[in-house]
Amino acid sequence: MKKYVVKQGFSEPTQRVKDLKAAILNANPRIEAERAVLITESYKQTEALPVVLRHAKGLENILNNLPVVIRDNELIVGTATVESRSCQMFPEFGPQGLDQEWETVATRSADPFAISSEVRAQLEEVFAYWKGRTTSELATSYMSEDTMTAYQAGIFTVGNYHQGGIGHIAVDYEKVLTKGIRGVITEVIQAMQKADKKAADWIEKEAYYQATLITLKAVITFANRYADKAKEMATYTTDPTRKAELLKIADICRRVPEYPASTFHEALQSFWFVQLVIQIESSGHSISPGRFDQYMFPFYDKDDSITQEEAQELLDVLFVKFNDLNKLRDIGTATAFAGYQLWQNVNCGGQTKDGRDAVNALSYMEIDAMAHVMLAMPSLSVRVWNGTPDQFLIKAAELARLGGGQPAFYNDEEIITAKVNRGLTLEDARNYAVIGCVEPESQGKENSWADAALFNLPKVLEIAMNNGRCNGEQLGPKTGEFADFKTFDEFVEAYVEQMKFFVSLLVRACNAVDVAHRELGQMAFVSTLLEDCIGRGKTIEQGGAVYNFTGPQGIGSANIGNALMAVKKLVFDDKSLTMRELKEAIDNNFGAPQGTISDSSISSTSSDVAYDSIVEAVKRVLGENSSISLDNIDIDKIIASTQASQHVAATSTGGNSRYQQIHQMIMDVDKYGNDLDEVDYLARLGSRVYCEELEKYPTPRGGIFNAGLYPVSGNVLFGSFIGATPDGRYDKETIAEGVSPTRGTDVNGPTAASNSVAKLDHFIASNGTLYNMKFSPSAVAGTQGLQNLVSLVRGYFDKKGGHVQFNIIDRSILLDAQKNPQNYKDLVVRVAGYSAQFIALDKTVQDDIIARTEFSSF
Amino acid sequence: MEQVDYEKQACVFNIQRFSIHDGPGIRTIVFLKGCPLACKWCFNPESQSAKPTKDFGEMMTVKDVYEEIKKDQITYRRSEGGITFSGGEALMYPDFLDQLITVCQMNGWTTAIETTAFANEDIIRRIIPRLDHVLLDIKAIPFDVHIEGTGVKNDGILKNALLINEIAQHVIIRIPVIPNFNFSEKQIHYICEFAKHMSNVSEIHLLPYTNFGKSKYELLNRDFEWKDIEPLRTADLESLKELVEGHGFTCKIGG
Repeated sequence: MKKYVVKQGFSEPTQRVKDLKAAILNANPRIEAERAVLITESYKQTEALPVVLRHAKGLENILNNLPVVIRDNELIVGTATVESRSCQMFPEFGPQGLDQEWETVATRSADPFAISSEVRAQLEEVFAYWKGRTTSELATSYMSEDTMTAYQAGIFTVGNYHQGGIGHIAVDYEKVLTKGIRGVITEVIQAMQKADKKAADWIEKEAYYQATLITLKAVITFANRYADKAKEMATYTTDPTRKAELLKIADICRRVPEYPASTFHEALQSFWFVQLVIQIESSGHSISPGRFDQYMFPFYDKDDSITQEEAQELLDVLFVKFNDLNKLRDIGTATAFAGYQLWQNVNCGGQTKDGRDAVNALSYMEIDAMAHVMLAMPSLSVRVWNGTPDQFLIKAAELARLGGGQPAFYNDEEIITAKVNRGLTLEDARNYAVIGCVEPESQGKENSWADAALFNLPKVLEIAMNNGRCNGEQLGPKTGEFADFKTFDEFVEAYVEQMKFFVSLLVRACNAVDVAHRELGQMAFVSTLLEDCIGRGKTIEQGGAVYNFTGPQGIGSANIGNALMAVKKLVFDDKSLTMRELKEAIDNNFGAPQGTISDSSISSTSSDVAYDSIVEAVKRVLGENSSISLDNIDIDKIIASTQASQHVAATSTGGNSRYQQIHQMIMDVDKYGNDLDEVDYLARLGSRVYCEELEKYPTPRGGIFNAGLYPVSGNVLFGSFIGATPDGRYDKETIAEGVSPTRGTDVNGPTAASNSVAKLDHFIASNGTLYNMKFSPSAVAGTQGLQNLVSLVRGYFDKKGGHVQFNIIDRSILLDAQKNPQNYKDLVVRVAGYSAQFIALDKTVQDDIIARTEFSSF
Repeated sequence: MEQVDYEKQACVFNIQRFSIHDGPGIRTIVFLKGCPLACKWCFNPESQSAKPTKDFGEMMTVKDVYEEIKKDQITYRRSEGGITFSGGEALMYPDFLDQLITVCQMNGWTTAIETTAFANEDIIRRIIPRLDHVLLDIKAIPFDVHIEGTGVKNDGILKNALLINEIAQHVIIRIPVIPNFNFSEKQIHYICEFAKHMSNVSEIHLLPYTNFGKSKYELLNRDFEWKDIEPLRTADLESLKELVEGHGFTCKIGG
């Protein structure tokens, strides 16, 4: 078996890799119209056909006619667009806001895309056809009035699939690599022959099978068009080296993905065609390669024609290639996700299906490729179990120390148990892949429908404090006025009752979207690569996968824990406040102005750094929230209000009004994130209620709802929908992200914070939890620093945390921390002979550390 | 099972979790209050007096401290870390240390001490052999220099250093490098020459002077003679590091 010799540090990538990376960074993204025109052309001719066939014929038309482009220096070919890093449009799901943004899309600050007048004219014509025919409009029509009200009030958003296609899938790439598309066609034909033609559902199945055959053949045609193109380019090329490369590419594209791959290069090319076509078929993002090191290793291992260096270069160029794909999002979502992100998540390590350690040479080479490429995609997920070799984790920690925020670490011991609890077999659970942000799903077998929604936990608490009223309107059940609760348990009970009600609305919203996709958006190609679609004769939207879930994420666990703790301690334990007093202080925003404050006061408090950091936060935020009455989302206003509340937070302490005193009393109560059992277990209770409630509901595809606790950065936006809360949070202030403690309230260092986070129930949040930690590069300097980072991961995982990821902070962050210390209370830096909380240090010491960091080797 | 007296008390002025530079692995440092030295540059001036005051320090029992330090027990195990006793001068509380070391050992955590070695010989003999690591501060060799900077004679310290060399499981010498005190090739050379008589010492750490204490002196309303002296940077110590290495020791700047 091929080995990998572990060395310290990372080698230099080849010149080709550097050139391809530069081409990505220098690309000017633009909107291209071919896909939209081709699918529309096809749909106009197929109005009488079943949905699944219509989309299949649309894809066939696209793959037969989409321009075929091979870029300079490429070894792995295949692209969706003529220009690198550009995007195609998916009008069948909705206009993605473009109908409102013709004039501004090229100049907006977040993810601008150039658009020519010709493309604009083509797309305007396309959208005119689709008006009234999109999944988005159908889904909206399925939503009841109270569901829409809750959606618009920011209690939840189902924007992701409401606006786009189904994504968040790790398909069975291995099947194509080992059997070829021809093998898949054979499988379909055998299934058709075996099927009971007398069954009532045969006609539907037959349409599905026909549709899959159309798309599978179209994929072969598409690859052959690349073979032709490469051959043609070879005849015009004068450079003999490139000529040989092009002829090799032609050869490879002639063979794969039609036939099984026989070399590592062929396997990578075959993989890429699958990865690409899924993202041409539909606009769903987070199409994740998953356990790439597992299914790709045999091709590397048995390929005697290739050296490790050559294989590394091929892997590197593939990792660059992930960035060739792009997606247009409306301004709200794009502002949230600035950086042209598609969340193609590559994994390494973990366990094999039969429970042995899975680390192989390619696992290490993936880490090297990440270090060589250092672009936004792919994401790298490192699976960790008790049997993971230390040197592998240390290599992963070394990558983390480069500061790109990669990789993320996942805990097999927790995740596999959680997946088994959801009904997966042990083997399928061990074969989980991390997709998108942090969602585990069984590779090739599960349609997790992850990121179905974001759910605003503290908003539900606010409604529980107002007897079911949401922004003054009676939306939830009447569970009692806050001032009338006689015991702490009564208040908790009200929260639970409101949770039940709003989860039921969330479920209805998710199901409306689900049903709309089943009726209008069936994808035949991707449905051949997820077991048991072919066996059942069903698309993924019809429930063809072996395992089906819907995964909506709860945000703000920390706020719930801290709020419950403050009420319990101040009102019921110490009796230092009455419910009435507390409610009044909250209703009056602890004496601070409600929501926004005047422009002059904002500008007087905002340094450029503060402004930028908030813009960044908001950029990461709006989540997949595009459908929250987008017209009403005003980024500047959110920035202003966030700033306003931060300003208030920074200046109000020490004030002497009664409301400010109450605020101070609240801030003095124990907070989640400091390894204090009582408050940590209240955070656990508050988030668990949500997860427990969700798992009671079935999905239209035959699975159940499966909660996650991670933010996709919806926390800033969701905060803007909530007034002041009993955790001391001001009106419209950001809520806590993921399962992390509220920014600035975990003050006992990283081990205390991670112990707290591990006290949540990660098992029931089986669609994933997300925990971010920040470190300065010097805190993890040297071999000892890497070992300590690994020990911290192992320690957190021993306590059954699910995911952790590190920000190894650089100088600019430290400077910002000096200016905005309230945001950085959890920042730990190495001081001299010891480590300390950065903001607790004397200014002179901080300056010293900042200067030192500048000289560090990172 | 060993009997532990969980009620023994000491004045603790800080318990610092996630310490990664005072002994191996991830450690928690227990800072005990009270110090027989009065170094003019001291950056923990609040630790010099052994009594708790309104702002600094509280009396804690072995049990209180155990409750706190056990929170990171998984990380100690994973990183082969543990507990480091520091001060002040931790050896001022031998009975307390004796009990707490036993507790640590019962849990499988490694123990370390950061010490000035200013203590009675019997205390050294009693405590030091029980610890896994000793981080021994040596500040200066010449009698007059030492007394000028720290307010105490160093004959006892140096004698204890030689004793520690004989009875400790593992010793590292740490030199706080202080401008206007021992920040010179001559002073460091003396310490190296002395260290050569400690057969079990192979490693010397140079800790660059920092002025972390400055604001604390203001808080304590105390004069700070070093207040205008700039902190040293790693680069300032490079030549001293070479000197130490020239004497045959492994040398690290910073802990």
